[in-house]
Amino acid sequence: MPLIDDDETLLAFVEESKEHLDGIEADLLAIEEAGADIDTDIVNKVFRAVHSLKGGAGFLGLDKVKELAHAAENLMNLIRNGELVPTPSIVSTLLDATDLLGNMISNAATSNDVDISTHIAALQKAVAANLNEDEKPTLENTLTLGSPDKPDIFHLSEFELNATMKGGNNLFILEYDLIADIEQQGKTPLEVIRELQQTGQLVDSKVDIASVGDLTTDIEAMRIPFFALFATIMEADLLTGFLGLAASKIHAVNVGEQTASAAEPVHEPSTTTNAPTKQEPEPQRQGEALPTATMPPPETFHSEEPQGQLADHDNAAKQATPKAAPPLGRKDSLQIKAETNLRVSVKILDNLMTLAGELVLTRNQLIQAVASRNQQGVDTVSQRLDLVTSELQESIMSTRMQPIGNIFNKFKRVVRDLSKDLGKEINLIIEGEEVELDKTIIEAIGDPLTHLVRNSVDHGIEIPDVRLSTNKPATGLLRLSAFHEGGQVIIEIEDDGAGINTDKLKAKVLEMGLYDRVHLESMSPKELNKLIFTPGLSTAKEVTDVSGRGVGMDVVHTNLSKLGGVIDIESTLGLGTTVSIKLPLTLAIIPSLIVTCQMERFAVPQVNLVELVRVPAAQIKERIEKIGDALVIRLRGELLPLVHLREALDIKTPIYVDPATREIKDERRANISDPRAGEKNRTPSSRDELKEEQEQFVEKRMREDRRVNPLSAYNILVLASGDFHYGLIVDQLLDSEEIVVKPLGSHLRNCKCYAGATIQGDGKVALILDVVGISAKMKLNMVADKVKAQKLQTKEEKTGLEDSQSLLIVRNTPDEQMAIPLGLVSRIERIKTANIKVTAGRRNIKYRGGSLALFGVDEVAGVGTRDPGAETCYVVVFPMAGREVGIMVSQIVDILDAKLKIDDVTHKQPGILGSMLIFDEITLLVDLYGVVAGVMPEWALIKSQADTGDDNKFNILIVEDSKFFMNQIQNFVGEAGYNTFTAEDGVEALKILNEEQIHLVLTDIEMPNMDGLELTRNIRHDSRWSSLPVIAVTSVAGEAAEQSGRQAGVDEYLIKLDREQIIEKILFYLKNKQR
Amino acid sequence: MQQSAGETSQNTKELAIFQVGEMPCGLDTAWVQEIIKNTQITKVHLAPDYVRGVINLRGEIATVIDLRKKFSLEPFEDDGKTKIVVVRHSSENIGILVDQVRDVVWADGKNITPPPSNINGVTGIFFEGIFKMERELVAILNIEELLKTD
Repeated sequence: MPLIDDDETLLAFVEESKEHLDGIEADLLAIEEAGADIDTDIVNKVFRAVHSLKGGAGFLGLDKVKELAHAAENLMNLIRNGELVPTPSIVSTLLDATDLLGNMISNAATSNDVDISTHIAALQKAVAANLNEDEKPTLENTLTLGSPDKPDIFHLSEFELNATMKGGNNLFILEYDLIADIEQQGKTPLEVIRELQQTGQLVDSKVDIASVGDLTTDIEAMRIPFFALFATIMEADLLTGFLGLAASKIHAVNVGEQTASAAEPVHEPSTTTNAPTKQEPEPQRQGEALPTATMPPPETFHSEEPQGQLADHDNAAKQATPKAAPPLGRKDSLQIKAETNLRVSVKILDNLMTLAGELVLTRNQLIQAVASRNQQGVDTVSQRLDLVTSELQESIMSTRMQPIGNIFNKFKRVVRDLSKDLGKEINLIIEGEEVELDKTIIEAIGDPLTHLVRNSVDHGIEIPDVRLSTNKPATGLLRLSAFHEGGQVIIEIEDDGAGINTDKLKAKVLEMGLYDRVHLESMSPKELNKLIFTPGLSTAKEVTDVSGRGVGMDVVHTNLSKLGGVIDIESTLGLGTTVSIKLPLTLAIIPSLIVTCQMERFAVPQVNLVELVRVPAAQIKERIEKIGDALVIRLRGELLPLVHLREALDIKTPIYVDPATREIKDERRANISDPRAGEKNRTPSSRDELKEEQEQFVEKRMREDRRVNPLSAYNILVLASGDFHYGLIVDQLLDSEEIVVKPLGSHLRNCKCYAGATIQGDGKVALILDVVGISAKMKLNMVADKVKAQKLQTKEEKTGLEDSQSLLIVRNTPDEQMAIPLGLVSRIERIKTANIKVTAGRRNIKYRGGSLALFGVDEVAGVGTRDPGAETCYVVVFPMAGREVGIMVSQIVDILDAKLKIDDVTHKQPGILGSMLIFDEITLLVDLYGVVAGVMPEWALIKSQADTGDDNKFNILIVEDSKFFMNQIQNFVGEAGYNTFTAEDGVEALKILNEEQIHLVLTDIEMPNMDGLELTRNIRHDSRWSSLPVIAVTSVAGEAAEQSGRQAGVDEYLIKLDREQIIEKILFYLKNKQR
Repeated sequence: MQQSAGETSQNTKELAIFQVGEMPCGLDTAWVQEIIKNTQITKVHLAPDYVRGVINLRGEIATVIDLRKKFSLEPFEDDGKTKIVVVRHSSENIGILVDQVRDVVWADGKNITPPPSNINGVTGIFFEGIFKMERELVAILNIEELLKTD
């Protein structure tokens, strides 16, 4: 039977069916889980879904789909009526059938050629197994139903008919004419089917193409009959009104007492339709009573009949419409079209419409303003345009967002099937299904996630016996969760399986010669776990057996990196593994930083950007070093591999911008002011030579410590590439922009250094740098490894630990220097002073859609006042009392790490914590909270202990060797209503812990005698204090430091002077006393 | 349809004629989307040498192939006549940089002969055939071969 020549109907059907099928899988699994305890709602849902599928397929001539759906429906019906307990094997049969249905529907055009006999047989067997002996024959009896003028329309087994008639249903044959009753009524066939399904049960349907007639038929008289076998509890007369169908088109099928039952048109007595009766199950009598009932042998019932039909209708179709069978090519395109459709909620569409309207209005205003040369008008409109565009962008993006549950739910099946195969018991928990991600990302993470889930099931979770022998419950736990964090989505795959055996992994890595022993010993457990992502390692089969994991993990890593995702793995041997994946919300539009190199513009995705560092020419000597032949930069005590973008891109004829005249010149000129002059008479022909030059350049700089023009400073982007950071030197930093990512053509696929391209405001193309690609090309991971090795050596040499702090150096007036602890600062923004508004005596500025309250240090402390006439100023933004506030300064001088020898007497006053010497200059340490508290005392109120309602004050032990910090911390902890005890080092702290009842410890990390880590380890090893909360406060923040802190058993790692956080965490840990 | 250009060369086809170096080249207009002025080309470092760069083609990124480079001819300074012939190939737009666009002519299949093994030192695989015009010979480009990625 051909497809109905109606693309739209088919498309709608395919799409709807896919939705149904997607849901069915999860529901079937739920049904299996419930077992005998049947949840009628779910069963009904599945039943209805299969049923709609059947109805649509029958209408569209997808006979095999219809047949299969039908068989599945029969089985479902038994479950629904509670006659059958859904055992795993029954559910498997149903799942297999729905899988096949899905495939057939995806390839609707060829679905009639699919062999479904095994599935049908399996389904029938499952049905038959449950029937009483006397009911069994009803399965094999085929009955024929029809209307008076067409007695042979539907064939169905007696069993089905009986099932249909349960619950007092009446059976009707409805005769629609597709042209007169549907098309001309402005309905679509699918609508009619849906309408029917709402009022009753559509048992079967069929389009009678044979009676369409040929081209010679009078067009007026042309009709396409569409028959529906319909079961409903409604009476015939009600039905006429309800369906809007003439009474003569509704034929009641009488099944009941009368043996010679007939389907008679309502109000028209002369009928000859045959119908079976419930009371006559024996084949012989059936035959007698029903002259037209056919009884094909059961095995041919499903194969022969449809084929006959197929042939019939093929002929008929050729007669009726020569074009009825669409060319193959068209079918294919049809399919693709079906897959690229997207459902969008009407609410979003309405919103888009409104925004489109606004956009048109704005355009009109713009045209008007431009025409009348009204500059002010243009300014206003451009602001409005900015707003409308952002909103429009957001709305459109939201249409692309899809819940991650779409993918997660697929894993129910994967885990079920896999655990069954492997003989494991696994409880899959899915959390955060509603978290939304861009469509492209959702599509792209399917494979990597499947891989990770399979890995967890296959290698992570042990078989029940092994689990029981290690005191774990027999059923393993696999948790898939998704949540938002910091503008990104985090997906976690957590299992309580065997974990990664790092010793075996190490042995394997050594054997393969990927790393040497010294290197491996220096690796943290986290780094060791990450070894499983090493390419090459994973392909070796033995590793899979030995380490438990590894097949294709490097591919997972690469694929996720391509998406801008970061993958992290944590594992404890014997306890389980957690893989977490950080993903951006969308890939289509990304915030990025525009930089230049050799006068060309490039975009760097902000996701990869950690920070920007500018090394002034005078400091290049101290900050940039060499390890082997690679450049590294020293950044807050850490060494980072460093690479010049020009080198990474193999730009062989560098140009040079003259700092004085801004003229563009050839780099290889013999000009005195160029520090590179002199050695430039040969042409560098390879990258090695260029590198050599670079080194010589640096060496030269080191030799000649002289003042160089500020433009020769290095602008360095610190970028995150997988698990390490590196510095990329660029010529200029331009601006941060939201860019639209466009793919590059096929000829540029092999350029791994680019992630795509974007079009700039001026219409020019800028390439987007692939941060991971560049590091891979320049083999920076090797440099990073070397850096680590070197660090290991120097660590022992380093004696005497320093307590250094990262400081932001700022000025209000040229002769007064101030410092702000960098750890507290969220961002620094440059603003136009003209944009500062004064509302109710308070200064604020419009900022990121809200308003940002602004304060000056001079409002509280007796420091110099900012020049009010200056056009711009800087705002140091930091969080306080749940909001962001800004402190205005006129100049940002530097960021540096300084050892703090703070004088907290001489200059101490509200808003100033104390002073110190930086660059031989007295520098005031600004108390950010003090400044705000001075102006807005109510914002500074610290949540006091009062709200715990506890009379007994909590005792907090503060361990800190610096007197200054001790005073600071003791002050605000005391202010918050806690009793404080103090100790200067770990040894003293342990003494106090022994003597006093301490509820929480706040400790510095770097201290003489016994440092904070050692102290924490001691605390954790003592059973008395195993659940005592320990919060580390430090001036050196960093992942590595935090990592080692956590390993020692620290609960929280916070920055000194960030008193909001500290107070909040104290409260948190005291409330949830146990760790 | 376009792929089978070789078979249908018996019949008449429309050729866009342009100049690459000393060589007049022809391209079946069925391939040609449009011909645009040589706009700002953004260089792509690390790309194959015959890729001149990328351009903004009404909001999409199109790769520009330098035919002179592809044919190993001397580079050429833009004299204002340089044009980019945009072709649609495996669902992406690709620009072909040519020195000058001259004409569009109808070529009779009987005037088209198979290409020799090399034309002016350029290997014959880049060409589909030679079209004899009144005064000169036009090399008909084999787009599939030219745009093959390595």
